[in-house]
Order: sequence, then structure tokens, then C-alpha cells
Amino acid sequence: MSAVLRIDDLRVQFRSDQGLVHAVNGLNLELPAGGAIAIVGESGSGKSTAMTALMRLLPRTARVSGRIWFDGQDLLALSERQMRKLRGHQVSMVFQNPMAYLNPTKTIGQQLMEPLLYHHLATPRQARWRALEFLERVGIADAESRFKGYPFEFSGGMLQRVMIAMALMAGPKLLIADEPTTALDVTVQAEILALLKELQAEHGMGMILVTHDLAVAAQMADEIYVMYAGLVVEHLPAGSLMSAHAHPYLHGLLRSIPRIDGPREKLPFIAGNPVNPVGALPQGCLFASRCSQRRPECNQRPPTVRLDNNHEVVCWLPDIGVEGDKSGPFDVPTVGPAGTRL
Amino acid sequence: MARLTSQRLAQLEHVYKTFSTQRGEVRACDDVSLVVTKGQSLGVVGESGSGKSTLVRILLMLIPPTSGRVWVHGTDVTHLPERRLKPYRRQIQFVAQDPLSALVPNLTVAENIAEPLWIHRIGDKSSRRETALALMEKVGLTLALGNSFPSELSGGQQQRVAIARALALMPELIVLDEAVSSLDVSIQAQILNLLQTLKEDMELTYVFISHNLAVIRLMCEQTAVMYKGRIIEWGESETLFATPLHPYTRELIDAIPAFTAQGVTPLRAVGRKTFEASGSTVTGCPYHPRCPLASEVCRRDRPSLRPVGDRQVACHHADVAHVSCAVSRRRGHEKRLVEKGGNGG
Ligand SMILES: Nc1ncnc2c1ncn2[C@@H]1O[C@H](COP(=O)(O)OP(=O)(O)OP(=O)(O)O)[C@@H](O)[C@H]1O
Ligand SMILES: Nc1ncnc2c1ncn2[C@@H]1O[C@H](COP(=O)(O)OP(=O)(O)OP(=O)(O)O)[C@@H](O)[C@H]1O
Ligand code: SF4
Ligand SMILES: [Mg+2]
Ligand SMILES: [Mg+2]
Repeated sequence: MSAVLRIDDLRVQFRSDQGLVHAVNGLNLELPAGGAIAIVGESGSGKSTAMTALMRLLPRTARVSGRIWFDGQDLLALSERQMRKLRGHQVSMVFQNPMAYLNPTKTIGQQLMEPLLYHHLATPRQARWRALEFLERVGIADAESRFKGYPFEFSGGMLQRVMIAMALMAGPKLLIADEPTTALDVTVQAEILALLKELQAEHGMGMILVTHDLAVAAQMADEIYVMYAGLVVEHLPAGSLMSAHAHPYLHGLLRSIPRIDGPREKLPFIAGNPVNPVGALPQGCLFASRCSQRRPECNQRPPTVRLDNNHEVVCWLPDIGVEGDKSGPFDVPTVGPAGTRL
Repeated sequence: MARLTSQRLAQLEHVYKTFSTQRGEVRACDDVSLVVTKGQSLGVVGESGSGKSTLVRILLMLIPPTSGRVWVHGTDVTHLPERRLKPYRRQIQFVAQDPLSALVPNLTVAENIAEPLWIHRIGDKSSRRETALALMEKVGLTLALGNSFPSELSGGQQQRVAIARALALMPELIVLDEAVSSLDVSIQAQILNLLQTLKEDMELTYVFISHNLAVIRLMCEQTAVMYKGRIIEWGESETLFATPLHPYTRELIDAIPAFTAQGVTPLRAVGRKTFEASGSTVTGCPYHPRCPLASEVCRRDRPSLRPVGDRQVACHHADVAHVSCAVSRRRGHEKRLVEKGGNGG
């Protein structure tokens, strides 16, 4: 399958009073046409920055390098005018913080119709009709009257769904969804995720899902990329997430997930501090200072080790033939469907 | 219950809230009554748009209820003038869903954390900065970020600043609206552990709003489930999640995406039942269009919150729900196993 998107060695730095912030430090990924990948990882590891770089919406303080191939062209090389033709049409993004991207003084309806009208994809009448259709598809009841409402009249989860509707309106080839369901209850979340899958199947829409919910990532994506300190530390098929994950950071993440049937006590977490992105990055493995599996080799940058088809890990352990610690809460076999007690 | 003399920190009594818009009225809270007792943190879960944030804004005395009363520490604050609300406000701090809304953009991280102290004229400049730095350490922020501005931080880092800021005044009650949902699971675990420690050390009580039921179960002794502006189930978290009595609570629990021995729970094609049912006013039980147990009485009469076993439930068939719950869940499990097998993994 050919790739709809390929990111080669993406790097983003921000100029700040503190110095240079290293937000993304060489990101590589590939999205097969019509496929879905998920990006998970640390808060502050550069997920949103990378996605915003793709949309070419970073502030002027950002320095971006690398290549982002979409549909045979390098997005980073396009003029602003060419980019505007793609944005909201071929490529859309659901932003992590809807309030920052919605205009408080315009009705939800006006804002929903904007991408269609801007790209001359519909007459105002058709745009209105389509906006109403999408409001309904994302589960906003009384779409007609909600259409004329302002952002402040919506709940957090409703705004998130409005953002999703807005991103889907023009039938994009590529959807970037940055934490699209964090403000939704699990039943509405399930509906929205099902809708996204449906649109993928219908229109062959490619999707990048950024999420902290590893179970949602496993449900939605074919492949998962795990980021730490601006780098991908592991890339693996979603089906291997539980059974074959290799990086100690990912292992730590999986262990930290609270379970509805878990013990009511303190949760395991990854001790230590995140890498300070300001100034020069440390030598060796960026995770080393927090890693329970640390070896002398870890003072050097670890190699990328290919473990299987679509499965690579950036870590010394498999290279030197050491099996990492795999103990964790998922050895528990007595777990039912929804993690409920049987 | 742990304490004999339970202390009521806050209470809502028959609270209604109706927003009038140009296009008609939206009822966000529909006869909500609840009590927050010291040491009994309360989790509020429920449908998106069911009125959780509205309820919180009423509890925080940010908006008045349309009718009903709000009590803080045994005082009816519903109609108190602004000037007399200040001491009550200080005792209830808030951590919001969107951290940026709570932070001042042109103050540094350290200044943001110290600002409540400054507003309440506590300490001097250097002691306030010390407190701010200590709080930063507590919530897991590198001190190097102290002079950064909120906009320079990632979503997760911003949320930690907001939590530190809420702690500055040492309140008794902290209301957290989706406060950990933007964090990665390891930092979420750290913050939850921290909140648990603070709860014990500083005798804090939380009102915790989250869509993550596992987080609620971990953090809160009590849980209230909301649906369309009403509390439909309320009781001890432990038993409520183990044996949900309201069919909606059960639907929620069953929809949690989770890892299992087989991998992950499959995405269910739910067929939009959820959405079609969310149309405006229905007579009878607001949940009946979606409810597998709905009968004649459900379509006719609105069930009110009543005691069933160890908790309060607003469902005509709560007792039946109890029995059928275990059955359907087991059946669901078998069905999923079959699906998994059928897919060939
Ligand atoms: N405009 C900016 N100026 C300076 N630094 C920035 C800016 N935007 C982001 N950063 C920094 O870049 C890093 C990556 O941030 P980003 O928001 O991409 O993280 P993230 O992976 O999306 O995190 P989260 O999971 O919390 O949303 C962080 O260290 C952040 O502080
Ligand atoms: N200022 C307002 N004007 C008009 N309607 C409002 C206003 N604030 C809230 N509403 C409506 O009240 C209802 C409840 O909203 P609320 O924000 O309390 O929901 P919520 O339970 O917090 O949802 P979520 O989980 O999505 O955050 C919604 O229908 C919302 O549109
Ligand atoms: S009252 Fe009836 S319709 Fe409502 S939840 Fe109970 S069984 Fe279902
Ligand atoms: Mg982000
Ligand atoms: Mg809310």
C-alpha cells in the first residue's frame, strides 16, 4: 500500500527567553493510504507540535526542518497560499483545545460552514444542510437550534464534537485528531470512534490519532508510535501492544493505567523527571535517567532495532540481547470485557 | 462510614438551572440534590452535556441556581451578596478542564501559582515565590519552567500549574473538572497519587468530575452518575462500580475501552442508538429510548431518586436491573470472545 503521508526527520525548535526549546527531535512516520495510526506518549513529548507543524500552524518562534510528504508534495515547502488550499479541505485537524480555535463571537453554524464556503465546495444552502447533517452525526441533539448557538452555550464535550464535525465536513483525505475524545463520556466516545472508522471505510480517509488512552489507540489504529522527549522510541502494530511491547518507557506507561477492577491504592508510575527540552539534549538514551533497565551501553545513543514487521524499538536491550522487565498488571487473567469483574 | 460526626462541607438542595437562549430554554440541572461530607470525596460521572460542569459552577458560587439552595459549611449562600461570599469561595478551589482558562497568560508559571496568595495578601514576595516553587516540585514540574509563560508549556504541564495554583490557599474542598484527562498515564498516576497524599495530609475532600470511571473509583469514596441534568444513581464507589443498578451506569461501565487477557475490548458498532435517543424532551424516564429494560411505566412516569439497597437510584426497574446486570455482562463477554475468535485475532 502506498503511503498517504510520510514524515522524514521532522525537527521543531522554539525560540524562547529560556533558550532553544527542542520540541521534536527527528520524527519519522508513515501512514498507509486509508490507514490509521496512533501517536501516544509523554505529555510534552512534541505530539501536538509535530501535528501543528504538519498543518503549518506553528507560531513564528518555531524553527522547523525535515520533510512532510503528503500526496506527492512536501508540505513544508508549500507557499502559504498553496497550504491554505489544502488546510480544512484535504487535510483537517481536530485541535486538542477547541476553545482556543473557535471564535467566541460567531455562531457554531457559521464556523461549521466556513471550510466548505472558503474552499467553494458548496453553496451556503448546501453548506448549511451539510453542517446540520454532521452535527447530528456527532450526536448533537436539536441540531437546528444548536446551529445558531455560540460556543459558550455548549458543554466541553459538545464543543469537542463540533470541532470533529468541522474537521470532517469537507471530506478530508487526512484527518489529524489530537485528543478528540478526552472530554467525552465513554458511550459517546464509542459512537464518535465508530463514526471515524465508518468515514475511513467510506472515503478511504487516513487518520492520525493522538491520544493518552492506550486502549483507544489499540482499538482505533493499525500501528502505534510511542513518543518520548521529541522522539519515537517504539513503533509497533496495535495488536502487539500488550503482547510484544519492548521499550521500558512503554512498559512503564502500560503499568500506570488505572483499571476499574484494580486495587484502590497508589498507582505505579515512571519515576524521575522528563527531559528538559531547553538547551542541549543529554547524551545517550534520552530515557536513561528514568529507566529501570539501564545498562552501561545506555550512555550512548541507542540504535533502532527492528523486531518484526512494522515493529522497531530505539533501545539497547534487544541489541545486546537482554529481555526487559515484563512484569505488570496485565498478567491478571481474571478480567472481563470492559475490565469489569466477572 | 469512617467518621461519626460527619461534617457537611457543601450541599445542593433541589437545584434547577435553566439557561435561556434566543432559541428557547436549556435545562442543564433538573432537581439535583447532593451533599459533600468531609473526607468523602464525590465523583461525578455521566453523559457529555448532562450538566456536570453547570453543577460545579453552581457549587463554586459562580452562577446562581434558577431555583433551589446552595449551602457551604452550614450556611445558605444562595443569596449572599458578592462581598460576603469571599470567605466561602476561598474554601472551595477549582481545577478546570482547560488549564489555560485558569492561568494568567502574562504571568510566569511561578507567579501564576503564587497569585492566589497575592490576591488574599498572604506572605511577602519571597515567601510566596518559595511556596510556588515548593508546589511546583510537588506537582512534578521542573523548576526550570518557573519563569516560563503558560503558553510555552504543553497541555499536560499547564494542567500541573493549575493544580499547584489551586493548592496555594490550602482549601478544604477542591473541585476538579476533568483535571487529569490531558496528562499521559504516568503523569496522571503521579498526580492522582499526589492528590491522594494531599487528601490525607491536608484533609482535603474532592469533587471529582471525570469521564474516566477507573480514576473516579480510585479517588472518590462516593459516586454520582448524571444523565440529562439529573442524578440517576448515587452511592459508594466501590459497590456502585461492582454492581451498577441503573441501566445507564451499566452501559457506561460496559463501554470502557480496556485491555483484557485477549488484547483490547473491540470497538462496538453501537448503531447510533445513543445519539438518536438524545433528542430533546421525552416523557417518562429520560433514558427509556435507550434502555433495554424499558416498559410501559418507564414511558409514562418519570422515576425519581429512591433508595435501593445501599444506594439511591432513579429507575423503575432498579431491582430487576441488579439481577439482569450480571447475566448480560457475562453474555456480553462470551459474545466478544466469539467475535475475537471469529476475526481470527
Ligand atoms: N509556542 C511554544 N513556545 C515554546 N515552547 C513550546 C511552544 N509550544 C510547545 N512548546 C514546548 O514544546 C514541547 C512539546 O509540546 P507539545 O504541546 O507538542 O507536547 P504534547 O506531546 O502535545 O503534550 P500533551 O500530551 O501534554 O498535549 C513542550 O516542552 C512545550 O513546552
Ligand atoms: N451559558 C450557557 N448558555 C446556554 N446553555 C448552556 C450554558 N452552559 C451550559 N449550557 C447547556 O447546559 C447543558 C449542560 O452543560 P454542562 O457544561 O454542564 O455539561 P457537562 O456535563 O459538563 O458536559 P461535558 O461532559 O461535555 O463537559 C448543555 O446542554 C449545555 O449546552
Ligand atoms: S426507569 Fe425504565 S427506562 Fe429508565 S432506566 Fe430504568 S428501566 Fe430503563
Ligand atoms: Mg498535545
Ligand atoms: Mg463539562
